[in-house]
Amino acid sequence: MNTRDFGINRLSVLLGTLALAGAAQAATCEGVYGGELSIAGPLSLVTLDHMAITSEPTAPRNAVYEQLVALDANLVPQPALATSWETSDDGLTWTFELREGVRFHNGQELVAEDVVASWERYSEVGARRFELEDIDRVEAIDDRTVAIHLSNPYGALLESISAMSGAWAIMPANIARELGTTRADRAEQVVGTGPYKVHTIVPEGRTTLRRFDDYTMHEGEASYNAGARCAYFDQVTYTHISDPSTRVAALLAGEIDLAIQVPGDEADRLINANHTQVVPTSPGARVYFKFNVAEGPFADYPLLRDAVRAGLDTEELMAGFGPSDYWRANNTPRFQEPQWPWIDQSHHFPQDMDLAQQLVDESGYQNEPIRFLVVPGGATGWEKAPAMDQYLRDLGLNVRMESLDGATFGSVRQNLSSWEIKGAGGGSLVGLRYLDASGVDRNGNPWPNLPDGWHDVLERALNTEGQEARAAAAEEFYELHAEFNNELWTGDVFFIVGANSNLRNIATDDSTASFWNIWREE
Amino acid sequence: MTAFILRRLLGTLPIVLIVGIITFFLVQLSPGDPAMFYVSADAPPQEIERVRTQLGLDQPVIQRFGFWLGEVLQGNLGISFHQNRPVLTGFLDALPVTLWLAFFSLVIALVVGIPVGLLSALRPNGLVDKFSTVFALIGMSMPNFWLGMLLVLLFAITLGVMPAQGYDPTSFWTGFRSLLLPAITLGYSQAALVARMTRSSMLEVMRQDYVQTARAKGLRTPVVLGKHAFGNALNPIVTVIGLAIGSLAAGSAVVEVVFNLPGIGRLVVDSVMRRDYPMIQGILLLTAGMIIVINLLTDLLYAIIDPRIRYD
Repeated sequence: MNTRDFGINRLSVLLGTLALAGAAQAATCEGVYGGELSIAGPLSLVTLDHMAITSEPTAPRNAVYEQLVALDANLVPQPALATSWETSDDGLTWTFELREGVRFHNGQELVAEDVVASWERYSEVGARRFELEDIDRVEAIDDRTVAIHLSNPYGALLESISAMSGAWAIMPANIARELGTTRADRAEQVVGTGPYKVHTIVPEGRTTLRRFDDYTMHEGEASYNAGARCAYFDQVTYTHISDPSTRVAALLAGEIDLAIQVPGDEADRLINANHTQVVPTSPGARVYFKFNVAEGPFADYPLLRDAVRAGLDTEELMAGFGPSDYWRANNTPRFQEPQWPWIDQSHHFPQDMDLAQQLVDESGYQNEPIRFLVVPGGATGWEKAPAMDQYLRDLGLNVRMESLDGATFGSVRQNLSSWEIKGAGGGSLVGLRYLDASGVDRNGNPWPNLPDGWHDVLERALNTEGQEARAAAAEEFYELHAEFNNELWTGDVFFIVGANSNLRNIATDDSTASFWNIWREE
Repeated sequence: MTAFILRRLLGTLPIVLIVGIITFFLVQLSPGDPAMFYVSADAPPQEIERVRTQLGLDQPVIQRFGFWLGEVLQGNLGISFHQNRPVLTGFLDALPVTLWLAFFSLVIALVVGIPVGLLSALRPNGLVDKFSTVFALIGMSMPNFWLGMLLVLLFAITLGVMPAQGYDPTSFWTGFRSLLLPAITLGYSQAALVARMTRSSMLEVMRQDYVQTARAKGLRTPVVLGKHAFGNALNPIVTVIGLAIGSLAAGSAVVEVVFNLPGIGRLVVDSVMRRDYPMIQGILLLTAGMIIVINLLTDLLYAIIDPRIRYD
């Protein structure tokens, strides 16, 4: 049984502008070859170890390494190093056929043993290996065939092995075994099959990639991390520029070609300059708030959570992220992409301040203090905080906003006695595993009063075979999620790429700012 | 003199040790978990705990301190969590940029500050003095990151004659170009300070009898200023310069971030944001040691410029 149609995504719901995903790039490489692309991003780059790292820039690693399967813009896994796959009747064995003639950057040919050795290393160091704990072993059937043996059926296997960060990247067996648990920090240790190979890695400095001339092209149109990859540039450099204003200044001064994650309020400077352009890229990051449903007023008075949801003007709140081209507000702070089968559209809460006030009065709230935690920057950040703070005050809540740095925020939120509501953010690609995690606190303890069936329904959504059945289970889960109302979704903020205006084919459906299909038109 | 130097150097050891102890506990006890940076956002608690164990953070803080101190006494500052290489290597990679930046800033502070101070002192409340007062007031009150952004806007974006960011070590010239705007940014406030201190010190000295005598002898003003007054006004100026070097080290963090310079300042900011404990501790310890040595050199300079001061 071919299971490619089985691959509805574990990541499941795509918010943002994935409606644009159909505008995929051309499958043939018709752009202009040559030159150098200089990229600057907010994250420092000290390693390209795709397995061990999630906090470094994603695009350079995905240009160097490839996986068995890759996600397209609809979040459906597509062939990458594997051209086809099958599952056994009991769902415990997945067999993959490898692409022929694929070479690593060091000249070795890809064989099944490389996949096995890569798995062995990933099972030791993989940042997301916890998602693949059902894998019992990986076996090389012959040079072109690999079998993954599971201890339990896992319907979302393809989605998990196509994760784009902390990924099960395929590397030569000898390098995987030589590295073991050591992080691959040196250029000669970073060997993949991708369209670009590593030339130099300067920690905290400039990392240089060069085109891999023996790259084996994948079939299909380029779409997100899948499909054809045309390495137009001879060389690509990545520089870490942490300050967003400095990234914009560098772009305006012509020192870089592409700036990742330009803040919305800086975008006008690029639009007004005659040699730069601005490209909003979806899906971006989802913007939401979390209630503390274990302790404090939002736990003691569940109606208070409904009150906060009922009166919130998400347009006003999202306006903190800059011009409206760069974000999308959800008046229904829920999953709402109409073309996606798992979308819940049944919990629309039109903004109604009178209703919100009435719910506050009915909730039993006694003016207890409400600590509102925020952290500067990004979707989690204070861009949305002042409007939320004011709104909570307008509702008559005794709120005190506390702004913390990222690391402090990370540890304070673990103490459930130290906050009542907090800003939150994350990728707009929301997985069922994430939704499962929304049922537990930061210490891994289930929230009190979780709706009955929370985990059972989720298990069905993850492991039931067939897209429709899984979609139905997911829909059921969303009902529970909405009923519990421990998270207040307010919209998505898109990641803005600033670029030199002579760059062409910048992907609008890829917030990681992948660069393998971009070319320069002089 | 040698005995003085040895005594002072020996005296630095307990100071560095105390700095080390304070920074260790401040850093380790500050909120924030470094492990959060090395796992995916949705990692389960047991995965976070695994990383904490890998980083050695599962040990009691007092045990970590004992281990760290033992290693430091053997010259090992540890391995950076983020860079995954010795702290000393990361520090030494970043040090040249910061040293060059501090050097150029200091040159600007002296080349601008001392003449402006001297000219002000020549005619107190005159036009030049009023101008220098405004110059100093702006220099000391303007945030240096803002000045840096203005300079970038003018010289890099509008005129296109200077780089907006980054450090190009290809040659001395490219390195100098990379550091000129940051050095002006950092040096301006120090120039203002030096100018004010030079002015007040010179005014004090020019009231002394020997200066009046020199004038009465009919010596020309440059000779009076250069030979008799300025030499005697140097002590407080040197003190300010010594303090300025410390300020340059501290102020460079903001400027290095604004100009994206891969120096110690940016490294320490990044390390704090990532809670890279070994790197933060190592940088603070080494920087403290450097400032203590600079203070010692300043003290030695007093003896050279003022014959009345002897350390024997």
